[in-house]
Amino acid sequence: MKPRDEENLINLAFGELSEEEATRLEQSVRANPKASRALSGYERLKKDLVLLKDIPELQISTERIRGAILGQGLKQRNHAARWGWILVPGLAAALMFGLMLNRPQSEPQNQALQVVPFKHPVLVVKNDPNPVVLMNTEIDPTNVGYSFSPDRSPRRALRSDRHAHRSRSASRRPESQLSPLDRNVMQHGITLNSPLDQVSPETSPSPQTSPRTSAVADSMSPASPTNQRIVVVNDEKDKATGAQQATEVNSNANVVVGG
Amino acid sequence: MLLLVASLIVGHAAISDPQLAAKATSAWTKVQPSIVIVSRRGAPRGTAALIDSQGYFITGNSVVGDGQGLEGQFFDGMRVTLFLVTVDGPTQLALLKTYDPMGDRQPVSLYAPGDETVNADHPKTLIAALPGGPISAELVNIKTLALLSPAHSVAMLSEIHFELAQSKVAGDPVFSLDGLLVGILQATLADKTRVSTSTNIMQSASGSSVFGGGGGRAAPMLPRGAVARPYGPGTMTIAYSPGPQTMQRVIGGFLSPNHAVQRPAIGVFCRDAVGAGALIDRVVDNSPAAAAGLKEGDVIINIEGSPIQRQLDFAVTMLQQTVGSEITVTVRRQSRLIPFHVKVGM
Repeated sequence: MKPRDEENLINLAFGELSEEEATRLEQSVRANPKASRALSGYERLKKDLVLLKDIPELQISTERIRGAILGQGLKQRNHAARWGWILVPGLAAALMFGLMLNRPQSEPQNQALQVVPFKHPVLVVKNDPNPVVLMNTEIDPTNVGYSFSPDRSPRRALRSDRHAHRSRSASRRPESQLSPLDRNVMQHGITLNSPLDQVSPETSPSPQTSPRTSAVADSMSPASPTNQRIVVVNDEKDKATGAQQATEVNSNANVVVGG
Repeated sequence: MLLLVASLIVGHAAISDPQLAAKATSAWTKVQPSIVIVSRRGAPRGTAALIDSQGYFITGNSVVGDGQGLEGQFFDGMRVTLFLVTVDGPTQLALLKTYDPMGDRQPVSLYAPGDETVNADHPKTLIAALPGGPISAELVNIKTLALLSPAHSVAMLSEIHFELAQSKVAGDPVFSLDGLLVGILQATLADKTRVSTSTNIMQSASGSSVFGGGGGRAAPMLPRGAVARPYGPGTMTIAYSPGPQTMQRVIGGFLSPNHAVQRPAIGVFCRDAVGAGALIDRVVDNSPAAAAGLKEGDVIINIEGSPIQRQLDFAVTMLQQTVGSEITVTVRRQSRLIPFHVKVGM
């Protein structure tokens, strides 16, 4: 599926298309099983966002903390790494200084993100108004999918959060500090192969729950009729009771009803 | 015979509350003259309840089968010949009639819950009339939304729990302790994990009946030889009957001159629309919807002021309409919202 199509599906799932666009896309999605599945996934994601709740402190396992402490404690200390905290920023600053000196002056000042092919991994300058990302040339820069633009739309913010924060925030921060989106991604094991996950470990702003996420959470309620449990009564007879078989289902999205 | 049945009920009473047990006995005494055991080609298939003094009975379609060779026997031993009049497709309820004299028997009255609260926390004790006699049950819900396949219609069902393991219950009527007809057992919840039993513990070889306890407060006394099992999903049968409103609609239709059940419809099939609304999947030819101009691909978003968020909303809203009335159906077509005036058919 093309990225553009995917974006359209996301827009559709989050209700950001005009009615005309939505109708047109709905009809084309119906004819395309793959797109239909993808759309269902986004809708599920939207729905699941409201189910996320803060994880109590008690659920931050003491065993996990103990394991982490013991794991660190049993490791032999690398004395060279003691100065790593100063070496890495220093090197980064030096490299960036060099790059800035060679930077063409005609470059537009409002460019949100500049991608520079580079054969070696990866360095990002923090808090730079015009950040430069050095990318490994093996990574397709057109597939970055992230913007530092402050005026990004809520939907884009959601997608960006999803792409950019998954591995970083989910793996490095305590669960209690995770955004609902991150927890959702962790819970559902969503794999999002954003190149930025590999190339910008510390640059992006602290992940926030996007306005869209909050809006979705506010608009959905567990008491929504969509969550109502229903029973499907089949024509097939139950051998034990002689009655028709009834089955409880939680989703009825694909059920056709007459009236 | 009545005394015998009453003594059987009391003898097997597992309802811990003596007043409740007395009510159950009283209810069974009241409704029992209006119930026949239906046999097909000589074999008992279930029971039917008299709903009209002209000799009309209601039961489940599974009891009547092809409708040939039907015979009814009242609990007092009187026999009548039964004929299949009609079957309501969506609910699979069947109307039987006898032309034989039945004596002075009164038809049962229909249960109408009104504002009464019925739910799992406040279950209502019932008795189910099985061919072997009455058993106790609980009404825990009268608003279970159900999709009836293959009719693709929606109905509100009553959820009824039996404290005993599964048995042949299909088509049998259930009554409140006031002696009112609550429903006809139509379906049972398929549970692959349920413990199967080869012993029919609801109908003993001696034909005696079993009265289980209400709400699991007491274990039922079982017929001799039956296997006792603890209360719970392993031994509980969850059954469904058409809800009170559906029963009222079906019986009203059955007793009409043409015995036809009126089910309001405009002649469309809908599925969930992306976003909100009910997406029209098919418009039936020559239906009121087709006559009004509704088309496939239209998304119904409102009926008579009621918002339609999904296809089930559409089906439930349609159930509340009256056949012959004209309703306003607002659809989204392309980017326009268009109201249509549709006459409700059946």
